[in-house]
Amino acid sequence: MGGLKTALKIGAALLVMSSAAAVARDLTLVTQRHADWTEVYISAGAPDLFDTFSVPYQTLTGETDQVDFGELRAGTGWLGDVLLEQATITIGPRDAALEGMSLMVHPADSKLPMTTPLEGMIAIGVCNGPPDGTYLSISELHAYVGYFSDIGSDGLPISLSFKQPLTSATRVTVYDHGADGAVTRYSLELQPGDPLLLPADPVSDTQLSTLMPVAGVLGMVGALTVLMGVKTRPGRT
Amino acid sequence: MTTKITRRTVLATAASATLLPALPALAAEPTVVEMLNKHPDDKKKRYVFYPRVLSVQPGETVLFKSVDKGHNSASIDGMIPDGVEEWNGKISKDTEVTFDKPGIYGYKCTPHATVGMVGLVVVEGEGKLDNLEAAQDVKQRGKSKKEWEEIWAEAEEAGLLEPSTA
Repeated sequence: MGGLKTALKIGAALLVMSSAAAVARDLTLVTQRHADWTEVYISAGAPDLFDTFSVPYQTLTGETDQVDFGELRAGTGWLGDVLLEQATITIGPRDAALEGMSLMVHPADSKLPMTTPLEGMIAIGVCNGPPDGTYLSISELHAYVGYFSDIGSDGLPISLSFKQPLTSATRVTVYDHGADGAVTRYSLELQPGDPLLLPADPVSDTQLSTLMPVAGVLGMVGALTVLMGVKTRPGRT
Repeated sequence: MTTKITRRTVLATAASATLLPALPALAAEPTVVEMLNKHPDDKKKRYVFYPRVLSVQPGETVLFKSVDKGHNSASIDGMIPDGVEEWNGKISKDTEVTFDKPGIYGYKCTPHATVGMVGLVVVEGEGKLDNLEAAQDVKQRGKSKKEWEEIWAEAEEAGLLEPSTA
């Protein structure tokens, strides 16, 4: 019995390790759905965010790898547009133009929270960045970008296809804020070549973790029933 | 004690009397529009001019006050009357703008326009709606689209988009 327990623990640990090794980068994505408009916020380590869209980070830093925060004061919506030029977006059946609101970077060791649209809005606000005259290396920064579309997404799937396939496996943690105020948190694991698909009715990780054992038990019951049926059928006839 | 009334005194008095009606406008404190990170009455609203819709008389000055840092006030291309000089305040600095010509004046915070930090000044007087259609036709970006829809509705509701009766 003790041996079985140990084997199970080792198996679980191996599963966690293999899953961690498979994902090379993490993104956080927040949506605000509405009948008439949509907001999307994405955050990741700054080099990872640019790499996800296959855009060189020098678009932000220039020739060096340093970010001049004073330069960001003039507005950075255009940087968001540059990223999305490398993707195709649809909301429901329609091609959707998402417009960059702002892109901002903050020191990675003091990341801002981003689980709600309001936190997204705060994170992309250039006035909340370090003071002018501050230069930091891109590798020390976490990036936040926000988009707006005047196409409603209430009850519709949102799809983002990368023109250049992702270069590595990516975990996306999604906070989907519905038009009715409901929030669904779930995770997606994207492999190179996968699009980013946000379903119309997402299932939260919590629901999933509740449903998985239930589905497992139901599956086992079903399998046993089938087996017993196979065994008992000859007796009935 | 007697006071000798000279021709000069009479002329000075007459000149003062002529200028008096204009004095309140000249001496009045400017109307303040605060540039804020957070709306004072609605914490969910970020990056705002407060108030965002304003009606003033010709000759009045508006002070765009840098209460929170990182903002400025700048006129939006195509959203001010013909012949009026554009303005572009420095970021994190107070900016005063005197509005002489009746009309519609749309303005923005340069770094935050796309997140919806925009505002409207309506200068009362004859011809104030001459540039309304042109201003409403200006293509907006990002969240300012939604903000402008709300602003036009707010101005309409307040009766600011009716022709001046004066």
